[in-house]
Amino acid sequence: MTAASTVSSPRLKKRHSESLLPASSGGGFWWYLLPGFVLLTAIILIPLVWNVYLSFTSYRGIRPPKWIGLANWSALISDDKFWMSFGNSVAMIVAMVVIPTLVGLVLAAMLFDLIGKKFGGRLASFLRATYYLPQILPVVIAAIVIGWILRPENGALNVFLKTAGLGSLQHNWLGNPDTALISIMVIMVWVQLGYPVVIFMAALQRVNPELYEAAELDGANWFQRFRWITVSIIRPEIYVVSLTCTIAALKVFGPIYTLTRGGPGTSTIVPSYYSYSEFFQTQQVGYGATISTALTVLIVIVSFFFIMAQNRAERRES
Amino acid sequence: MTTSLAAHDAARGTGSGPPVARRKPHRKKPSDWIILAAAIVVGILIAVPFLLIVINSFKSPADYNTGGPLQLPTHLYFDGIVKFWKYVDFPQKLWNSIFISGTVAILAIIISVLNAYALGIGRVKARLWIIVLFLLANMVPQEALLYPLYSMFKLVGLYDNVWSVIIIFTVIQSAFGTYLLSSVYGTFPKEMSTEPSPKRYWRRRPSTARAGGRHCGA
Repeated sequence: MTAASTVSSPRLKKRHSESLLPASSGGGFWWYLLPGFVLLTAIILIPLVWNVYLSFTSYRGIRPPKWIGLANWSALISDDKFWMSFGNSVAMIVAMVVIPTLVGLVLAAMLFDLIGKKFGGRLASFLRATYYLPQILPVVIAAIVIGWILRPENGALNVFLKTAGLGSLQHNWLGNPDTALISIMVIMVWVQLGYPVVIFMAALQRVNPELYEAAELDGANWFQRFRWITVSIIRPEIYVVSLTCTIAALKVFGPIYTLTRGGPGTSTIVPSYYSYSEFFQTQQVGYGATISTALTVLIVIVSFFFIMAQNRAERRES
Repeated sequence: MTTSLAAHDAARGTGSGPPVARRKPHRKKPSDWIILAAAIVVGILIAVPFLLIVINSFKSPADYNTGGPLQLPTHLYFDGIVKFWKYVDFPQKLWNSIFISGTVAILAIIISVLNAYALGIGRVKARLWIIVLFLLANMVPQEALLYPLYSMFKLVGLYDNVWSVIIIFTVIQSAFGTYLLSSVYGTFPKEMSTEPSPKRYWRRRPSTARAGGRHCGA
């Protein structure tokens, strides 16, 4: 296959465009993009531009938007609630990206390397499926379930603490500003953990066992082999998992909406919930658009740097 | 640390447990059992909320008040589920869900295949940027589209209609499909293109691609 293609491709490239089909030049293919482009424009691009425009206006949803220039943006910069929401986004990144990726790596290596090999693949798959359970629940349902467990009066966690003789540890977990954010972080770790485990375990199939044997003969211990073989071979998956989870963490809305509505006070507010509340509760549509535009810009920048870093790492490797 | 027997033993694919006196190399060591126990404990911690839900959804309110959330139900109580099913008109909700997800799946696949055909097979110019543009649908927080979409769908009379949800999610889902499929299509064998039609390529494949095929197989 490779031989044939290397012979024919240089000739082909000169005569035609890069297309994999010689009969048609690149121009004919544009038609296939048309439906996708029309939909993308109508559903994503126009609303996005419209939203950016709204961020420069004062708009209460009834009378037409009034242009006020940068007023929303300067208000945003000095808005403590907004910076609070971004601080909480960092907490969400810790709970949804950093911890699940690190713990997921260790769990995946443990299940694949040890439990799969010594106790049988069945047990490893069963445990993997257990870890993945929260992922198959819609996040809103998961949040309701957990909210019920954390309820201050006769919630399962408090009852459990009382029966275990740790009554003094009982809390109004989500209703107290000191514990609300931590509780949500624990919930998000619970929700997210299965995703990296499943992706990393699939990636580990690619690792050649001979590499391990060679490293073992050279005297590398478990951690060294984990660090230099496992992690470096499944690096593409680590990038994909951390990028998709970072985007999800910055966008997180459902659990906050169902569990705390950003409260108590502003202790668990996140940018997406803040913009939602400006849109539909206080009806400050212009300001809500400003928050969501700022969030969009941040996500695009973060994704861009992620992809750049990944490309650079790939190039260095090859 | 690197060459001692103990370190070697720990390196045997086992885990971070303390190195234990070596027995037969393929035997399970105590540290293996400790790690297995840890993995099972993690699994139980993750599954506990599900168990609590199952236990408590078959409990009557009186039972819950006397026994609390941790006790097993004294008798199976189905009224709660029956009431819920009728109260929220669950079959209708379920049907909406099936209809929306099924339609979105079909439409998003059609759009993704069309896009990916142009990007992966057609290799149109600036395809990387086009893919990034499509991926924007995935990246943008939905709040940033919320108000404009809300106004737009109200304008065309699709507000409060499943089709507005279907259209929006077709676009968002096809973004990922486009990305995935175009990278797969991009790896199709190039020799396919030296034939006037794909059909003939597959028919003539044994003669034209035999050498290459063997190359691959070996």
